[in-house]
Amino acid sequence: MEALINILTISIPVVAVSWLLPERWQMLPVVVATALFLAWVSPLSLMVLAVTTLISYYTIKVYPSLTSAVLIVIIQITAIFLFFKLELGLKGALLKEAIIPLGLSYYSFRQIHYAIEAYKKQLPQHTILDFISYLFFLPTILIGPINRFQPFLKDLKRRRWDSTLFSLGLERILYGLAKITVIGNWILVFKFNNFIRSIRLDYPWLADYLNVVKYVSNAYIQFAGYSDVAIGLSMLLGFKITENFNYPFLATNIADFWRRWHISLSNWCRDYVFYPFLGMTRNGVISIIMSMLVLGAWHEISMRYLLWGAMHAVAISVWHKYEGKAIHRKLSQFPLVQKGLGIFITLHFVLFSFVLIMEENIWESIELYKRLLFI
Amino acid sequence: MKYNSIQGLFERITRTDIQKKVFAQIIDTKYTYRQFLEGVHKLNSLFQSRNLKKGDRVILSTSDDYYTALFFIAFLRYGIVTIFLDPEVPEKQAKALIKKADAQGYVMDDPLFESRNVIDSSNQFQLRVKKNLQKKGKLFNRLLKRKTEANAAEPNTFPAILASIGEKEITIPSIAFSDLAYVLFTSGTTSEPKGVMITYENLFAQLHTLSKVYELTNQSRLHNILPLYHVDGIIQGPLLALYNEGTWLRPMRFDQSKINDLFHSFYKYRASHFFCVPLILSFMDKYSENYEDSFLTEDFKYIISSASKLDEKLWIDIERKFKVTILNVYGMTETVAAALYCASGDHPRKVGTVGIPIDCEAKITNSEGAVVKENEAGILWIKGANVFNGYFKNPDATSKAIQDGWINTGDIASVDEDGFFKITGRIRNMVISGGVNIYPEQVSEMINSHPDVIESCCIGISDEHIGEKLVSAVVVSPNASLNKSDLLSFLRPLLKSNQIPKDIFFFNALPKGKSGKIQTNQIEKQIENLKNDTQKTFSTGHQESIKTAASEAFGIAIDMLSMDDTAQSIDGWDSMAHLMFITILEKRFNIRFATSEMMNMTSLRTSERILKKKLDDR
Repeated sequence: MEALINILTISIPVVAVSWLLPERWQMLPVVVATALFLAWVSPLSLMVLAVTTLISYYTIKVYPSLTSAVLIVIIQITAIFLFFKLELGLKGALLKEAIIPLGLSYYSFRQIHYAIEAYKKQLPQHTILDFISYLFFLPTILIGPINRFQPFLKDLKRRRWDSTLFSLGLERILYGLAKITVIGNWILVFKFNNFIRSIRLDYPWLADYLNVVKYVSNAYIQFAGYSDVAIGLSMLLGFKITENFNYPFLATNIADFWRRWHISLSNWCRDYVFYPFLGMTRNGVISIIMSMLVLGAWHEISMRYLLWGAMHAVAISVWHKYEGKAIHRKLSQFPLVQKGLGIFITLHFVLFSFVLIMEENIWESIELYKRLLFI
Repeated sequence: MKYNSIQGLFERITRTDIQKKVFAQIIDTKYTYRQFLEGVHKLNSLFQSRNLKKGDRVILSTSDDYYTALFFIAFLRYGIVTIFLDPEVPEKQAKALIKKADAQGYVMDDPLFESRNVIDSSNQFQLRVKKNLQKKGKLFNRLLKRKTEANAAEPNTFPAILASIGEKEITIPSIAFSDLAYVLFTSGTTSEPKGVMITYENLFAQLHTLSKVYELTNQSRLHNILPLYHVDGIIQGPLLALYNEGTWLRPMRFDQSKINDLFHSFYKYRASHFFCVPLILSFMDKYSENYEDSFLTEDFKYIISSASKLDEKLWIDIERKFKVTILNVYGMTETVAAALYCASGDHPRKVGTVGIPIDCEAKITNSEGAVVKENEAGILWIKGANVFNGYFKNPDATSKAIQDGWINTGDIASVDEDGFFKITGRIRNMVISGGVNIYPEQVSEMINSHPDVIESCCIGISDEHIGEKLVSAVVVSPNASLNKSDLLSFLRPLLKSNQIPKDIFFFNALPKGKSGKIQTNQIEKQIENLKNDTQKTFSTGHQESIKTAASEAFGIAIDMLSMDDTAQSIDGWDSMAHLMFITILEKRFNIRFATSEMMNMTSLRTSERILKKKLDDR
């Protein structure tokens, strides 16, 4: 929350100055503010981002073989990502403490996307300044979404002062802040939590169940709130950044859930993990498993997140096996029942899966599973 | 009628509170109504001081878009007849037009005075357009209030001369409806050029209709990048914007490398109407990937397609893809700009037609002059206040074209049971290639001027992308060794780049009828046979394939092409030709280039590399 407040505070003068400057200088305050913000809260992140930005851009631009250049960029980014996520610096005594550069997961995945799109020859003509503007974009530096370069560049080229978009942006920031503070921090974390505590002695199972509901709801509300603020801030600067959530708890199946939850990440995994693996193996299940493992590892490289990813991969594969089968077709004759049942099952699977990552370690998760399943 | 005269228009725009409003935005420079009106006023003051009188003809020929609009409107205001002369017109044609125009004045880019042999004369109004070179350190010069050297050195050139014109009282001549507003040369040979004379009545009747059909208001922002020495550029751009107190947008000069910028420009510049020709729509259709939202803005209203036949499939594709409405208009320079409209809003609409006549009449007759029945083809005639007065100093051509106030459009059309007109063919000898009118006799005249050519005939053959393409059938002297590349090199300085034949076929003799008239349909058949033979021998080698495609698309003989040629080094490599080049290769190899690949194919070497990779990947 503190970082968010800092970003919002910095953004006020940045937005104002940006619109007051001549068009070709308008992104300069945004880039400078992002660099200063990183220098203040995470100088290591600034260094990593600056170095990788230059390496990624110039390797792809000047290296004679595009395939090798793209591989170099992907290996470079993945190595840095793994170095910090696996705390190799700490283990190798290179760093004194476990530290993850702020925004690393987001800008790493943005750069991998950039490299693969370059390989696919899907990048429009652009300059280093366009690329820097993309990676040093204050609204999305902290918590995403993992927006794509092409739409960003499109907005960069066509943006102009648009009062409608600006007021939508302000509205969106307010919604986001309301989600985080009122629904998340006050209702869920404070009020709902107190209620759970008050019933814990009399209704321990219900308290555990509601605790999971609270955790998942709060995770969604907080993340969606932050995304709203990022999208709103982008709008203030004339950019329409991709949506990250679309009522995920109304998903009627688990595949549908991943089209609604953290959309920018799940789309990233679809395009850059699932499709390549599908192309190589022609095996849907293996491709889903690989995608979901990467998706889990993006959050944290740990057993619980890998298990969480694997659990979702299995669920998606089961759903695809079930889809179109006789029972599914029969149930389709009762769309309301099918939809209601679909939402109920999907939601409870999601709640159940989140138990893996809500507890400190896997053993505590197992304990909670036991209680929830009366084992 | 909203405004019935140029006086009424100027009273309105000088009176209302629009002085700070942007009249024109050209590339990144904005001109407010105040700046524009000051410019018009100063020019009118200059005309008065140089004794230009109402009715005088002045040749306007500058490549600067803003100056073209400024002079044209300043001339209109003062009653001076603008003779439009495209600065791109080759010397020989330009000299013929200058001779025919017998003008009292010239406003031309400085180098054109020499190249067109316009000698200094104190009896004539002569103004050289000489732009100041943009120098570095302009800001510091401005801060230090330094005068630029160019201004100080040549105060009698335009725009430097404006600085010496003060706020003098001027007497604007009274202008009647019947007065001539401008002359635009459209066709004919160099010995007999045809200039369309448009009166103020024609012009204002047209402006009124266009505003009504396009639903223009003072909030309208007209995105028009069409050539200004063509009615669709000058009339449907700055003049139409001024008439409606709107804004004229010209963010770029279009070529294929700017297609992305074009897509961005609709939102960026808040365009409400986009004026284009089907060729541009064809490009937009081809490069639309990821730009489908380009027109989804709260400001955008209509795409207006004019100048050539809009293919029904392209029309439907664009509307569906971009979720936008296209207004297809049909007209000619002789009707100012448009006469039939397949519009929207309150007007009936039928996709695939040119709609209905609005504020004018249209009829279709057979060869005996009788009006034909529904769905029967015949000659299209138009009558109305927007129909021109006649051809400049050409009574024969005028009497041939106009009968009882009706103009023979030279197009074959039919009208359906609902009253919608459809153009089905053409009787006048004209080729419409990518929205550009080409008069074959003009091209033949130049080919025939080659000492080794006995005779030639140019015809348009249908092309799925650009409508028609111009090809030439040439008969050379028996002992001559003239080849395609020699002839094309000979033609280049004589013709505009879009007039250069896309292909040249050598004949032993041209097929003729008993009366000695050249039979163009026979030529077309023979050319088709020759083309088929050529296709059979299409080489499989990549370099040769690229060169063959380039030769066909860019109208250059294969032996003239080098793999190091680029879009800059080949004259004929324009937007239209680029599209053809790509399509020929796609057809030849049964592949489909991605947008990014097509965008990258800006040299023959790169094209070869992309093609090779594409084929290897297949």
